[in-house]
Amino acid sequence: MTIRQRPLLAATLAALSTITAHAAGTDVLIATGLGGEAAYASEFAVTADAIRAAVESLPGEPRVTELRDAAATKDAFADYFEALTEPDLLYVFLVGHGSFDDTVYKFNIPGPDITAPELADWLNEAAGGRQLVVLTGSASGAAVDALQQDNRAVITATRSGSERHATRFGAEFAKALANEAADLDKNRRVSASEAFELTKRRVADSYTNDQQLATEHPVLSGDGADRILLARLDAVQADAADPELARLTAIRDSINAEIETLLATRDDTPEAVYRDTFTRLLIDLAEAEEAIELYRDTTR
Amino acid sequence: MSCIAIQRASSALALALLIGWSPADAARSIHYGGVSDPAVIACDRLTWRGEIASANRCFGDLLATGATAARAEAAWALGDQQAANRWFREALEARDDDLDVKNRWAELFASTHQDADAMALFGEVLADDPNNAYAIVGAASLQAGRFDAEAENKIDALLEDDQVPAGARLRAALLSAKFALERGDRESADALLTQASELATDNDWPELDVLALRVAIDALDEVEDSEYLRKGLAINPSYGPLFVEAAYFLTITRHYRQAVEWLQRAVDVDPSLAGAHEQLGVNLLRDNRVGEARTHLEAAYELDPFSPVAVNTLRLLDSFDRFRVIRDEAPTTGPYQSQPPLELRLRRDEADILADLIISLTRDAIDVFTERYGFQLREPVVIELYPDHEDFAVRTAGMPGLGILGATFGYVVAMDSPSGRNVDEFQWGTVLWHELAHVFTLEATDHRVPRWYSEGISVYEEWVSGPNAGIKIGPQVFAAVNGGVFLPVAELDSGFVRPTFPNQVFVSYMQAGLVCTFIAERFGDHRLARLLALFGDGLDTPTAIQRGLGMTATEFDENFNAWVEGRFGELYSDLNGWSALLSEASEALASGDTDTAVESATAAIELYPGYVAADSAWLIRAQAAEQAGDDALVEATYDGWLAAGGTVPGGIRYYADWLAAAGNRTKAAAVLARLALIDPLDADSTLKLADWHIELNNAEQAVTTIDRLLAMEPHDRAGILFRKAQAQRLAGNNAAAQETLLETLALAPEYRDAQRLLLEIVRDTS
Repeated sequence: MTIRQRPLLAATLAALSTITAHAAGTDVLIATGLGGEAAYASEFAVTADAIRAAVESLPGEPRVTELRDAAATKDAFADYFEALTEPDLLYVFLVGHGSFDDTVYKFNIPGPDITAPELADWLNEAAGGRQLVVLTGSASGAAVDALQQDNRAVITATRSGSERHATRFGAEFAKALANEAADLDKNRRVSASEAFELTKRRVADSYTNDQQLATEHPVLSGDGADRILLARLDAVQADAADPELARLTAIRDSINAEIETLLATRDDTPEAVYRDTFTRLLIDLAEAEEAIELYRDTTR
Repeated sequence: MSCIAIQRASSALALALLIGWSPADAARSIHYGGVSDPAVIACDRLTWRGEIASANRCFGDLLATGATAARAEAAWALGDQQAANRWFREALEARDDDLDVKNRWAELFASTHQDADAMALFGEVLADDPNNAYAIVGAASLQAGRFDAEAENKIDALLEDDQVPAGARLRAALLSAKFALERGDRESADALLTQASELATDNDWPELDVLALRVAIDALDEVEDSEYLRKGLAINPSYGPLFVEAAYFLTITRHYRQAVEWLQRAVDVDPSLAGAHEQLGVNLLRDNRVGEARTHLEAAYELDPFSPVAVNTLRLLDSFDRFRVIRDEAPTTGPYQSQPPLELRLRRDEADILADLIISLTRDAIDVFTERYGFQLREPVVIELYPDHEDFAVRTAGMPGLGILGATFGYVVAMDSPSGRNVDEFQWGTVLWHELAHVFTLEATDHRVPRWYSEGISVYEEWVSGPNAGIKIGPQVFAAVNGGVFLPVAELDSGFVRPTFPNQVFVSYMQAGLVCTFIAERFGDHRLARLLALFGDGLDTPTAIQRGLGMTATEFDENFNAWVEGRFGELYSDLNGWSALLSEASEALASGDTDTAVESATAAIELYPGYVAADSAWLIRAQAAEQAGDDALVEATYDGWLAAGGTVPGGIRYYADWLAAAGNRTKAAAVLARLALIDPLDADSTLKLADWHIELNNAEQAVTTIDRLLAMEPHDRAGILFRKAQAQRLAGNNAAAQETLLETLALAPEYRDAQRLLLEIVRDTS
């Protein structure tokens, strides 16, 4: 079957494709906490900048709000969450130190700190679609239990509240967002799980290289982080503006959707059927990509 | 045990004895006057004659009616050590100054592996009575178990003192005879056993322990029908130690299979001997008979739950579930087709990373050694690598805390895995090469090779044919050589067995390696094989040297020492001068004076080319030459360093990158490939090597390298699989490449490079 004969499977595509930011429904909160020392304050700023640059690379112009330094008060957080209107996708990045008093996790900001249960309440009230919460600081593992929810993926720099030292996670996470090495599925996009996996390795390597005992062990909990995009590694291409390109892209996407369906039903598919179908789909997908490339080359 | 590659920083260790075992056994040994209560002795006599049922009845009565200390002895004899412990404590509570009882309580602790408690009690006795001979000999026995040379001095003093009680002197004579036998000093052992025999006869004690040592001598001499064994069994048909002592000496002389036979006979005549079951299990394991080993170790544990060796070894066997056994049959064609199969036991998570490297290196080693020593291996070679050093230690000696890197038990080799060691200090390929040489020296001589020669050949092979060849002797050894510490060749074994100064074991390794190097250089390396054959005939070192090299051992020593002096004298007589050159070069490099750095480093290299460590003159000169822009000297220096045996991973990586940057990818790949036998788990270097192989169209090497990389669970699995597909395509194997691409695209369906290659293959093949 050539790509021109292939029917579109738009419905399947909608159900299975990676969740990306789109204008009407995506909100991003990037907050930095108290640095304590100039070096940490500066590091948090760099990390927040990198996160902002990454999420702004996503298609669909997500609404990005920053609460930095003195602006990151508990009231400001409350106001932010109150103003949300059930976004399809909500990203919350808390960049900074955390603490754990053996009972509750706190994100350290000017004035009263934010506790994990408070953050959980705000997130629950925000409702909407999927949520991604990233806590880059010390003791953040203590927040996981409070934050766990079906529609939410949570990334923390530590695995528990007892890992209380300043972390390297944030800086490594920021680097991962723009790193080709993070793109494990080679789709020129970095998902939350891909960024997490590279960060986790780099943090571990940094302690090994320094011949130090690792004082932080990042954790990703919850499902769906592999479908939440954090960054694009190439420029956004306005395929929709060209009808032929849009047609070719739709064909490619439909093949992708078929592949995802096949992979999702692999256990129920006889091995021989799976292999034949998978091989055919991959060849079709390669041809579809080639057709897009050729078209772009000829119309450039 | 000779078959050991030791840690370079190892302190003095009695390697030969490490895999022997402590005499501790929960069984109650003959006390030779240590107990004076006639009621106890009456029961003992029944035991000594092997009338166990009667003895048990006798001790049973004593337990009910005897004095407190006698009850302790009775409980111990009946196998209830806990009750014995309580009775001894009660006896001493009643009479704290009874040193005889305190000594016996100490002996109970010693028999249940509680050496520290035993030593504390002997110490209490000696505090009250510094000349208490039973305490001295008891403490010396424990120290002997830890290979403490001081133990020998203490018992020598007892033997020379007529005032010492006969029983203590007898025990001292037995212990001293054992030491003498460990050293191979038959003459002294014989005299001491005669003395012990007389003391036993004079005091109406059984000669059983004397006979056991004489049986051991017969076993070492391969006497088929030992009159001493017959005599011993006539006294007591169920006296297991008659076999156990022989097994001990066979074990420390590496005759593990014979040791198994003797231990089996020991448990046949006395199934209650926990120590014999334990050592039978350990020795069966050395012969890769895992199932049988477990049976006896479990029996040992059942009889003596205090045995750390049984507990540790059983735990190790339980951990075998985490290992994978990989069998490699010899190739059906080519130069390796007559080789035996290999059996690898590797932890699952590193099996696929290491297996091919081990197999390839082992096959190369077998090829080299078969040719040089004219001996064809007859059984599969078993190779085990332990990521956890303590697992390896338990595998080797039943106990943790062993300062060695590898051990060979015949056809079974066990060693540390590269993942368990700092790669800057541990070259696993070299260690494996060393151990495989032992397989040959042991098996070609039916395990008769003297320790020094087996180690000498292994070190020699490391230096001349190993994966990082080059004579590498540390400055600390040369400093010792300058002090005149080399032993006469006829006595070289003692440097391994009972060292007399710190570091002597390591010095002995180096001396043995040099002796073999000297023989190969002066007489030709075929004489190494000739000597091995003579040792296989059972000749001792002086006789073998006379027949094999046509000179006496003394003449050999003179020639050897002159050779060492001629070859290394300038260095070891002026180590400070070399050290000053090294410092000068290093300081000049730091200050940017590259001319002086090159000049001083060159002088240091000429004096001591075998010093290839990270701070070596080689690497200083390479840096200086690079700073000076002298590319030819950079290359010549790194090449010289590698030829001298340089293994510092950072140096190898740096040189490979330097070559690659200079456009010499072929040589860069060859240099970087050396890392696999040093740091096989370095994923970044392995990936780089794979890319270079692809670039150079070395398809086969690329695939092999990538397979190792994939086994390391790389972060970018799709990217690595794509490289594998590229390599397979290069090799012309389109079907395999397509298969790999499908695997790649399953992980990364939008991977454009993989898609392009897939289409290329599909279009080419359709």
